[in-house]
Amino acid sequence: METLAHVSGKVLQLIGPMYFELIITLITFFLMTFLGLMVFLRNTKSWTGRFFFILTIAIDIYLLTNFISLNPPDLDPQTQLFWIRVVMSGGSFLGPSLFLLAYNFPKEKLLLRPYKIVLLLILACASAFLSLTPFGVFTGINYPGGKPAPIPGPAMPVFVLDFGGLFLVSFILLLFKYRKAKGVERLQLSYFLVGVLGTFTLMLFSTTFSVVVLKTSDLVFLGPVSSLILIVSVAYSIARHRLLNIHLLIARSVVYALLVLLTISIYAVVILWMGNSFLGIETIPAQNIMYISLILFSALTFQPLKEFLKRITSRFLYKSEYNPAHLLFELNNIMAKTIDIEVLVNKALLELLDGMHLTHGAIYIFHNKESIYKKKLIGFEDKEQYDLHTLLYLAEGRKTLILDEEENAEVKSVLERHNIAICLPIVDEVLHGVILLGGKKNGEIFTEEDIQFLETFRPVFAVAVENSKSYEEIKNFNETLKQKVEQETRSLRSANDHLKELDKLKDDFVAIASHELRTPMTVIRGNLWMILNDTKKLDKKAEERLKVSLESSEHLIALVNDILDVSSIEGNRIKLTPAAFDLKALIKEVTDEVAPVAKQKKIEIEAKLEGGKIEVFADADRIRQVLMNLIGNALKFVGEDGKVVITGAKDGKFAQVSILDTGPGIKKEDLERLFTKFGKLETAFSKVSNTKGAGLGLYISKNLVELSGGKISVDSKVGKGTTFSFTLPIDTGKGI
Amino acid sequence: MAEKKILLIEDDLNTRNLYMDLLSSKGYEVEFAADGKEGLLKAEEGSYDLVLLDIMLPHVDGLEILSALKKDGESKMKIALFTNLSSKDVIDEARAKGADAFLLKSDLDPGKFLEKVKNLLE
Repeated sequence: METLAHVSGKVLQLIGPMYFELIITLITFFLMTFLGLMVFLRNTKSWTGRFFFILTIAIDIYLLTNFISLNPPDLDPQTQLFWIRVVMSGGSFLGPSLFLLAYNFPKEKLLLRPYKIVLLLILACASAFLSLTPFGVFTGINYPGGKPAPIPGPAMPVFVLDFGGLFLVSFILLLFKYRKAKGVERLQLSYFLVGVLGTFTLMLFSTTFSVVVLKTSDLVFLGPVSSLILIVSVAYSIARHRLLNIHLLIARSVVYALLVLLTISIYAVVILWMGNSFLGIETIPAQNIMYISLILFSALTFQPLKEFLKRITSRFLYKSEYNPAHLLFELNNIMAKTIDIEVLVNKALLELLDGMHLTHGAIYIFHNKESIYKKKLIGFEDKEQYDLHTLLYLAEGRKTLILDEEENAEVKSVLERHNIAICLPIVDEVLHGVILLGGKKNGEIFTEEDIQFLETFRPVFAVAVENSKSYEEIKNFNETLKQKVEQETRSLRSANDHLKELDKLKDDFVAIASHELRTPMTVIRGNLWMILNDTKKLDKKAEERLKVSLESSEHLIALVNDILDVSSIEGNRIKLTPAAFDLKALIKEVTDEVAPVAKQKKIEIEAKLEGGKIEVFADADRIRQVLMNLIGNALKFVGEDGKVVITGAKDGKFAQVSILDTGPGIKKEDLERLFTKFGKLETAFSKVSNTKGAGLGLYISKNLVELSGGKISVDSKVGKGTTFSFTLPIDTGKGI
Repeated sequence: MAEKKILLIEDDLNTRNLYMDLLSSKGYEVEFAADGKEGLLKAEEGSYDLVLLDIMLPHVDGLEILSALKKDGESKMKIALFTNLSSKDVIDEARAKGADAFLLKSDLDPGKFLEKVKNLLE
């Protein structure tokens, strides 16, 4: 019991003076372990990380054992020697650890061959073992001038190799790597190198060198301290250059650790030293250690505890809280996805009121500051409406108005009267509108955060509103354009209809006129015919006159027919009903019909039709008309004993009809005008003709042939004769 | 041999006289009507072999009469349009309504006209 008390008293006695060194050692220990852990935990699979951790542990062991070996200073020689040996033993692992790290840095995969690692381990263990033996590293201990100075033994070289040798090798290795490296890796290596160099040099110096060469142990305590150099440089590297793939987390942690240090220092200064010196508060070292540990603990746990408590009380204490970033994200979504202004205003207002937990709100959009274009109100009683005048008054300044902070009494009263807590004008270059907001549901005032959020939202919303308005304008313009186009089309159509009406009227006029003309003409012709055919005895002269009259009347009828046809052709009103018919049969029919006339005029007319049927696809009545016209013309111009030959033959996809006559022929200059209206030949022969014809026949024939899908042509030689030809499409059986 | 009975529905006096003379001179029994309404009644009552039907008539035009007469399915009585209107539309409509012939007055001199009538009555 007494021994225990004595020992503990002694221990306590001894711990006091060692105060300074203890603190340093502890801090170094904690930082070292902390760093090692961080690096390892970040990527447990990385061998570089693992080796780093191992190194930190090795340093930790060295730190602690070194401290114990030196304190208390008046330890008996044997114990001290023992502890020194322990230090050397532990320190045996420093060299190998460093080498492993240096070799593998900065790769994740294990680069070293396992057998080499084993070799290293053997070396380390050998050194460790030898350190402990009496005849190994240190054989004895002397106390020149009261300070311990261990005597190096025969195994010292082993230790030197293990420690110094490996250190040198590692350093050279890192140097080579540094030379080969580029960019960030190079920078990282540079800091590492500095740290390593600094640390181990000092370490080497303060322990082995000073003890062996300078024969003093005074500097031994510097050993662990020097490791701080390594810590600091590695930490710096991490913070700035992502050494060993750790990021901001470490940087923050380093800062954090420094904060802890600061806290402790303040405590140490204020409570312990000042308390001791000024207030005479006596504290025993054990207490000091306890207090420091407590501080350390609370400093470390403060932040995590705070987050935890916040999380579990958020439901009741943080009810009116909202995440501004999240709300802004939601609003941005709405603004990005909505182009219709009404939907935009509705959705945005709803989101804003819900998100910020407000009682009521409204958004007004103006039209050129002249009228209210769109509005949305939520949460108002009694259908509160704001008039444009009030809105403009509030929004004119283009600045956010907050009821609680408003200094202008007039403005304040307006806001109050209308139940507005915040007024946000929606502006970019132009005042688009205004957002009016009521107070928070829980009655709190708006915080700086709230206002900042609204100020961030305001210009973004202004842009969205402008876009929507532009879109509306384009839509409206489009509508207007469409309407205009429709209007114009309608008026065009009615104009067209009107023209068609006029056309139709003209058509009707011609039809009616021709009908009216035909009626008396038919009577004249009929009566003349009856007189000539039924009257038994007629005066020769009278008969002559009657004949002429009859012919003239028929001429007139033909003329009216032609005029009607020309009118139809010109007005595109000709209606052809094509069908398949035998062209040859038609030619024969027409030829037979005109035979009496030909006979009378002593003209030989012949239809040369060889071969079988020629089925053409055309309007038979109209082709008959064409044939009558051409054959009629031929008969008109051929003199007595002349010939008219009609031929019809197939020519590929067309049928060709030719009417040849042995008439006087047509001059070349006249050929052009032949198929035009009233293109009568200006020859004497036209005066001779007194048969039907008005000069429209060929014009009509040409049009009829062409409308039927064929072509008409003429070939003539003055003095020899004329041949008119036209083609018609062969029936393909397909119809129209 | 019974004489063929022909009904001429024609509003123009001169035209009427001309064709009545012509037809009766060739031995046909001819009756006439001067407007559409009268013509339709006569045609429905009497039993004619041929009706010569003008189109431009007062009260009821020729095409309507044609429709009315052909609707009953009177197969014995031949109906020929006898007019100076030559538009294709009218010709098509007449054909559609079942006319037995379309005679264009201006195209047929009396000789040709009589031919046509003869053919129709055979």
